[in-house]
Amino acid sequence: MLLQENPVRAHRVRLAGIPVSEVCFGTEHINRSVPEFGAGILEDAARLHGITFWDTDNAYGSQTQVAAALRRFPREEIAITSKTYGRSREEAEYDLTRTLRELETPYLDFFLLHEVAAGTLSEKMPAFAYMLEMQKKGLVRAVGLSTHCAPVISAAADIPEIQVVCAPFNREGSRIEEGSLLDMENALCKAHSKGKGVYVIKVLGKGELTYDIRGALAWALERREFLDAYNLGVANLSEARENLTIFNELAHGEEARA
Amino acid sequence: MKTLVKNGLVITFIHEGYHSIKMKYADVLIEDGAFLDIREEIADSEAEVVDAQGLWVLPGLVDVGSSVAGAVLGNGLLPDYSRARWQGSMLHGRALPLLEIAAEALSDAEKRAVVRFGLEQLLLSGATTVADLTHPAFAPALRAEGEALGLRLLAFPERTANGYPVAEHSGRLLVPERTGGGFAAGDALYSVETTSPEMYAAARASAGPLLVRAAYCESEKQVSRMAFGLSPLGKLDREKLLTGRTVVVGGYDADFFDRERLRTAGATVAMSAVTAMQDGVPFPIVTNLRQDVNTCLNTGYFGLSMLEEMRCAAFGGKLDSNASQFQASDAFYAATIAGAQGLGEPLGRIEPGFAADLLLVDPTRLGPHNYPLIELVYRAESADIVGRMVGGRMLSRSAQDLRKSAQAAQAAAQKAWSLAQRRIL
Repeated sequence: MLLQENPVRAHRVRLAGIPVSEVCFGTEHINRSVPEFGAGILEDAARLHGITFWDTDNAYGSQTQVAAALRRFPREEIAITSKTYGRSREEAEYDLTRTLRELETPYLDFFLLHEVAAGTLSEKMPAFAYMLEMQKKGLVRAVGLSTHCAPVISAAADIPEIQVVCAPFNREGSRIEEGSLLDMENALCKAHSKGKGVYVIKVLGKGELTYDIRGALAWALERREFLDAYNLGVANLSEARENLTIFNELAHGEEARA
Repeated sequence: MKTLVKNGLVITFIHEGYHSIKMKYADVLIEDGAFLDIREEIADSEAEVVDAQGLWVLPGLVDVGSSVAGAVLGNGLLPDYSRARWQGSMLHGRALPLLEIAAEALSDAEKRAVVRFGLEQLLLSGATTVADLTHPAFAPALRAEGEALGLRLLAFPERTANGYPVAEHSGRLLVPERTGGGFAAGDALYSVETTSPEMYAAARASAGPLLVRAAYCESEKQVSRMAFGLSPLGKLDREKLLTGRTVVVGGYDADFFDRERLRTAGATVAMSAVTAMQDGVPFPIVTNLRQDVNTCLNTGYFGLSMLEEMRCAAFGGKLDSNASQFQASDAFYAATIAGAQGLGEPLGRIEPGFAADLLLVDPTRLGPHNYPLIELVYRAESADIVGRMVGGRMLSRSAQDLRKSAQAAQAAAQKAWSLAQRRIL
C-alpha cells in the first residue's frame, strides 16, 4: 500500500519526441552489483518511482544489469540510451550490434556519438551516417551526440539530423572540457531553440556537489526552459529516491501544492 | 590446448577506466595461454571443461615489486614498524642487512625453501603474476620455485653499489631472469644513493620494465637532497630514468612535484598498503590518482597476501581522501590493471587476447553477494579462492602444502636469524 501511494514519481516529458521520465537513471555505478541485484535497483526505480529512462554504454560495464532489468518490463515502457566512441561506420556498427545483443533488445531509443571531443565531430560523421541509416531501419529511434565541449554542442545545433544532445551541466562548470559554463549554457540553449532534445549529465558534478544536492538541482532547474531531461548517476535506490524527492519538490512543488 | 571455464560469474574491468567493471554470467574459452572468447553458452568439444557454476571468475592479481625472500625472512624478526625518520632508509634498516646475512649463510636448498614458502603464500592469496625485487643471491631460487609452482614470475635482481646489499658493484647488467610464466624479467635499481653512474647508464640502455625503489621515506629524501640537490625522483628524472617503463616501488614520500614528474613520464608507482599501515604512514593512492599517476599494489616486508594488500589499500585510500573517492573496486583495479600497465603486459583483465590468468572464488562464505568486489576486498580469505589459473593452466596448491613449506622455510630462516640477532638487531 505504502509503495502504491509513494508520491515520489518522476514526471513524464518528451525528449526528441520520445516519452521519457524527466529524471534519467545514469547506470554507470550499478556495474558493481551482480546483474540480478542491479536489475532489482532499476526495476524498483521504474516501478516505484517512474524512472523509466536509463542511460548506459558499452564502456560502463552496466549493460548486464540493464539487460536483466529490461527483461522485467514490456520493452516499450523503458527508454534506453547507449553510445558509441566510433568514428567509422564499422566501429559504430560494432558498438550498436554489441549493445543490442548485450541488452537483448531489438532497438535503442537513443543512440549517441559518445564524448565527442572538440574538433572531432567532422571525423565522426561516417559513424553518424551509419546511425541515421539504422534509425531508418528501426534499430534506433533517435540519434545525437554527447560531449563535454560547448563548441561541439553549438556545432551540433546546426546539424538538422541531430535530434538529441547531451552534455555535463552543473553550477561549478565541472567536467566541461572546452568552453566556459556560460558557453555551455548558451550552446544548450541554442540547441534547444533549434528543436533538439537536450538532456544533461553531471548535474551533481559526478559526486562533487552531493554536499548540496538541493542547491545543485535548484541551479539546474532554473534553466529548465532549455533542458528536457536530467541524467542523475546513482549507485542505489536510496540515492535515486533522495535526488528525485528534492528534484520534484523544486521542479513541481508549486504544481503539487496548487 | 583449450580450456573452457563454464557457467561462472565473470567479473573484470573491460578497459583501463576505474569505473569500468563488468559482471556477466558467461563462459570463458582459453587457448594457448590466452583468453579467446567470453560469452554465454560457448560449446567446444576439444576443450577441457572447468565447472565454475556458482563461482566468481576473476582476473589473477598482479604483485609488482614484492620482496619475497625479505618478507619471509623478516616475518617475525622485523619490528612493528621499520621506517621511522631517524632510522635511515631501507638501506640501513633491518630487512636488507638480513637478506645479506641470509644470502651468505643459507645453502641453495635453504634459499629455495624460503622462496617457496613466500611464493606459495602469494599464490594462495590470489597473485598469479609476481614481479619480485630480488636479492641476486636469491634469484636462482626464485626462478626454480616460480617454475615449479607455475607462477608468472618476473625476477628483478636489484643492482646496487657502495653498500647493502652487496650485489653487483661493477655496473654490468645482470642477465635477466626468465621463469615459467613466460616473459623476460627486467632491470632494477636499489635506490638513488646506491646507484653508480655506470648503473644509470646500463639501466637507460636496458629494455623492458625498470623497477626502482624511491621516495620510500623522509631520510632517503634528505640523503638524496644532500648528495644531489634533488629528491630521489628528481634524481631519477635527471638521469632520464623516469619513463613509461619505470615502476617506482615506494613513492610514499613523493611530493606534488615528484608526482608531476611521474605523471609527465607516464611512470607507475607500486605501493604496499600493508607496509604503509604497519609503518603508520599515509598511503597516498588517491593523491596519486588525482594527479594522474598510475598506482598499483605490491606486497612489502610485512606479509605476502594480495588480499590483505587490497583490503588495506581500500582502507588507506579512504583515509587518503574521503570514503567516496576510493572503494573496493578501486583496490581491485590497483591489484590488476594498474600493475599490468606498469609491467606493460596484457594481464589483469578477462578479455580476448589477455593472458589467461584467473581466480575462481567460492562466494558461499562471503554471502549475501550483491556486491562481489566489496565482499572480495573486505572479507575474502585465501581459502575462498578455490581455483587458480596461470597461462591457461590450473594450479593446485592447498593450505596443507603451505604448512609443509612453512616448516622448511622456518628451519632455514632460523639459521639466518641466529646470525642476524647478533649483527643487526
